[in-house]
Amino acid sequence: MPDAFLVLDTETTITADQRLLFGCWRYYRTRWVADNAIELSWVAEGLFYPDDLATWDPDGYEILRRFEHQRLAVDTRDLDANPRLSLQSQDEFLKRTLWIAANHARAGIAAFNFPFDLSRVARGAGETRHRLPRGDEPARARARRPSVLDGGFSLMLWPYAKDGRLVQSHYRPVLAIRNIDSKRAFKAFKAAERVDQADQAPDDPDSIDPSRPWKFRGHFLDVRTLVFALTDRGHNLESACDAFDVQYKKRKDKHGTITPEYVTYCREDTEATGQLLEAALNAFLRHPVPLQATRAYSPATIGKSYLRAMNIKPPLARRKIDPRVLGWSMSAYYGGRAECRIRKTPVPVVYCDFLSMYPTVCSLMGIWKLLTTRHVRIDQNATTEIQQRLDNLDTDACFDPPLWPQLVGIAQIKPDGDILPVRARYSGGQSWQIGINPLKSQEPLWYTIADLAASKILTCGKTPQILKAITLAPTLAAAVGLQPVNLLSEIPVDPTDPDADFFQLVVQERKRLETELGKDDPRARGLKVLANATSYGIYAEMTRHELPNRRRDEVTVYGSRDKPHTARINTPEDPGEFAFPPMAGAITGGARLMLALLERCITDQGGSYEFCDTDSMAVVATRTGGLIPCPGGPDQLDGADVVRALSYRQVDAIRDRFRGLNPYRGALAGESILELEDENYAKPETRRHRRQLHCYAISSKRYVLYNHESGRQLALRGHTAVDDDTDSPDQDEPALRKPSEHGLGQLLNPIDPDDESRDWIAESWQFILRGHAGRPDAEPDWLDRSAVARTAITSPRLRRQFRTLNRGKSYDHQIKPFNFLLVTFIDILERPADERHIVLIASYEANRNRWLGMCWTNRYSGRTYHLSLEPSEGRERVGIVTPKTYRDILNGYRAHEESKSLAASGVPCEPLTAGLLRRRPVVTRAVMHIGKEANHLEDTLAGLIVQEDERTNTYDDAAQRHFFDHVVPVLRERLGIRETARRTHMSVAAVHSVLAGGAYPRAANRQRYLAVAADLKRT
Amino acid sequence: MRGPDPIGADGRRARARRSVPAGAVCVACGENDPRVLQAHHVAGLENDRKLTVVLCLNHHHLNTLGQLDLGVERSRDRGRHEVERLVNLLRGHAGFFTEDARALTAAADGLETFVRMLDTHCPSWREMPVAD
Repeated sequence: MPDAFLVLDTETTITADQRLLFGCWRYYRTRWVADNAIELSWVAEGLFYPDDLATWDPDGYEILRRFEHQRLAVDTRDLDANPRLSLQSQDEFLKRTLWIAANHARAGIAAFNFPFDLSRVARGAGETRHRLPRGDEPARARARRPSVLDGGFSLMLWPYAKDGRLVQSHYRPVLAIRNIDSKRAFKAFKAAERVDQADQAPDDPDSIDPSRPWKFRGHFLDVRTLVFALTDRGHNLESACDAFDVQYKKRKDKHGTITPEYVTYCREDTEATGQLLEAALNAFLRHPVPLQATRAYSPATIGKSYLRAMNIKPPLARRKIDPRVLGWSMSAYYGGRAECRIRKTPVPVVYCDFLSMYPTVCSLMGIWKLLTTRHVRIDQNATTEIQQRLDNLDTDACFDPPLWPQLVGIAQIKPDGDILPVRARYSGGQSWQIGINPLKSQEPLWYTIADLAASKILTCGKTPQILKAITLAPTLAAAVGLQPVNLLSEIPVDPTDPDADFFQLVVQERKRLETELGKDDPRARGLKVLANATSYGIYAEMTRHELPNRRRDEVTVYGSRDKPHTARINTPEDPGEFAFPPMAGAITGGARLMLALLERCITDQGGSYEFCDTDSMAVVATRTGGLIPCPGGPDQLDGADVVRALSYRQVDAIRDRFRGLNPYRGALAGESILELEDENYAKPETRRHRRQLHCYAISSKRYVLYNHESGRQLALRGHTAVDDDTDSPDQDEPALRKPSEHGLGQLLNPIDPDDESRDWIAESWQFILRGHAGRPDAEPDWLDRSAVARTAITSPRLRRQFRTLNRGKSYDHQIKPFNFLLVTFIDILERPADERHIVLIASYEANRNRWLGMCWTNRYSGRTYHLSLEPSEGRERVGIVTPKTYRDILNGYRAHEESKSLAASGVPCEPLTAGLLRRRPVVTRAVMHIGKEANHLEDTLAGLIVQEDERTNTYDDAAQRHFFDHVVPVLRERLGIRETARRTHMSVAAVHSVLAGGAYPRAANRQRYLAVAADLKRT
Repeated sequence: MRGPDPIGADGRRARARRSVPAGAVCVACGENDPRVLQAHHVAGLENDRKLTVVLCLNHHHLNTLGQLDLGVERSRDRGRHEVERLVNLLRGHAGFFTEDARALTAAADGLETFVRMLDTHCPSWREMPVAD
């Protein structure tokens, strides 16, 4: 823990360059008030401004001057606390405050959204490149894998002027920042070439490995990242303060012009950040783990630190495991099950979810024993045993907890109509979706045993025929050197105790704290985050590295087949520290088995469900049950299709069945692990008055739960749903209880782009529900505004798009790293004919009236466009495109197909499909090996990335092999580099890197090479 | 910045602390509390940055006074000739050895007093075996 913290915040102009307007910093000293509690004592504060502010904003400069020497209520226990506010130029701030604090005092440098603030005060920015060190070959081989900082930005904070240019000093480091996502970034000093002797010494020499060179990397802390690591939620400053009980109310002041109120606002922000930092650090210190707060990037980081604190060795580090087993297990790995079963048809539901699904599954499967055992015993000859187990398995057997540890393993089958998870391009586009569907495959495939059990449950008894099975089990001996640890410094966990189960204990303790102190108790929330962080993701963690200059390294691919193959990849993936695919697959497979059991219990009673999502399911149910109109429903009433709604009592009986799978003791003992969500109750805090919930779902993860009084839209037959809801102010308007933000959350608020409120999404759902009810009246007045998302310049590659705009300008006036960007969406019909992909970006502008006059750049082609609200209607326009409006987005949203399912008629789900859907049978044509799918998730959601190959590796790309084996040799031998460059309209350097350097061009450019090669072949 | 400068003070303190190796003691008195140990530039920082000894605050102060008494040029002067730098180096060493001699003499005196006390109160101590 640093001895002090410098907390800073910057304010910027509202022009495209978002340059520094002024900033504020506070300096705190760390006082230890207990073994795991600190107090930050405020000892100094200052404002800083751009060096040339007086020339371009003399009034603003004068306002800042008036704040100088203002008296401060600093902590007078510190004799050298400065009770006067200081005012510095940017240059003085960098040299006398930031440099001394960050390097000499080794204080923590903290900010909320650190990359943005530091890129404001920087003097220049470059790219962190991967360079192989000079010297001996072993050192070069070690450094061949890029560091986590490569491919990020390097911020020049302390340059000096030479020949009219700013040059990086040999004695000062640069600050390297590589973005992970909007909440996280790696940050570190990249050491200067020459370092003072006093700066070469570590603060704590005992903690340093003396065999490796040590360099001071700085203590940089993004308060937003720490808050995310502690809460598992993305926050803005206001909501983060709220979560940590810090008093703060954001002022609604006009930004962009220096006024006394604006300066006060900035100072209050800095103060709130300091207080939030103190609260977050204290919450972090409750975790007795060997981890620095500056390295706590996510809940998983804290979870892994607990495992390290208990001296639990990662399974892959304990004993060498056949890589083929790991490959087979990885091919059997699928995420959570999410699907929509009844589409575009409102039905009454009871919304249930499983209590801590993944920790519960971990506990049932005995995952803790696998983690604490000396070795994981892998039995590759378990075929007969598993086949017998599956032959004897039925629904009742799955409710028997001793079965679950026997489900940890994988098996190879030749699917023949078995209902299994299938990852496929169901929609015909580029993206992959997972559907639980009947599968036929000539090629044998691997599945987790839990998935095969689920298949038997869902197919009503069809047993998959196993070709080969592998099981995992702990050895009898526990690992050596395990250490007890106290969760949150107070709850003891002893991994040497054979009866202890970490997951069980965490969930039990969380429930106890919630019962005693309420759901908002920070320790209960901390345990919830910890339980989830240690029960799934870390065992499937894969880290992707981007090699420089589109370099491709050869990797060995272990997948579903018996023999590995090689592939050339620009973004190789490495398993994370605790990655262990057999365990990760078993856990998610167990969760899908749990949902399969629930589905079977419902269908056994003739019921149905609206949707399910990983750990929850909306069961079609009313208080007394009955028939609900639903196209495609299995039953008929008065000539109309209906589905059967279960009664509350029937749902409760199903919930009772799940009591048998409860692994918990204490307050949770005897409870069902299938819980009713708060949305089912009129008063969730007392959980007494159940109210009828309704659901309208479009596709997986796109649904809304609501209540309404009139029951007009339901027209229940046979029975009448009794609606207890009395708190809806407008009886005609459904009262929304849970509107899903999936697919909309990335868009800016159409009412005020700067307002982070998500109320407009609820309004959108009201609009969709009104549209469904045939009442398109009362449209929101923002429907015809341009739909725009906000993102940031998070990579040098993205910043290069603004090269032309930045040329000849000083850094202050350039589009800088981490500047906010606008992204707009273009309908396929409006896309210019010569553009293969179009994603228009522009620097951030909060005033929507200016969007039409701005210059937008297609990030794929680099061409610039202006926006028009007039549709082209087939006319050819030059440099003008029409963006999608919120109306277009919402129309597309409600037409979004559930493509992994079939309509009741048996055709694939289409935009107009409504009613009960069916599973979509799948026959495999080819099996492809792909990498991690969740890369660049936020950029993809924001519409910035539309090409699948930018975010997911394809490891056995036949097209790639064809390109290198057949296209490249032809072009190289018959045309040569220059002629190929001329014919493809590409630069000689680019063609050289492909024909001579082995670089694989991206899809659009590849087409050009293919076209030229095809022409050659014809002639 | 007007008034106290807590950041500068922390920077100086932290660098001073880092310049003292772990487990070091004051060469003059054996003090081992890292909070009061500093690196003393024997010839002055500007004459030789790397030539340091670890001293406690008291002895650092006394050594610095000794340097000043002997006329060691401690200010930054980029025009200083190598020979002048050597002069400072020699004067610095002289000052250090003078201070060191004083400290060692004081330590020897203290030890002698201790031997006398042992003779008075525990005369048999001389019979005890001496380690090789």
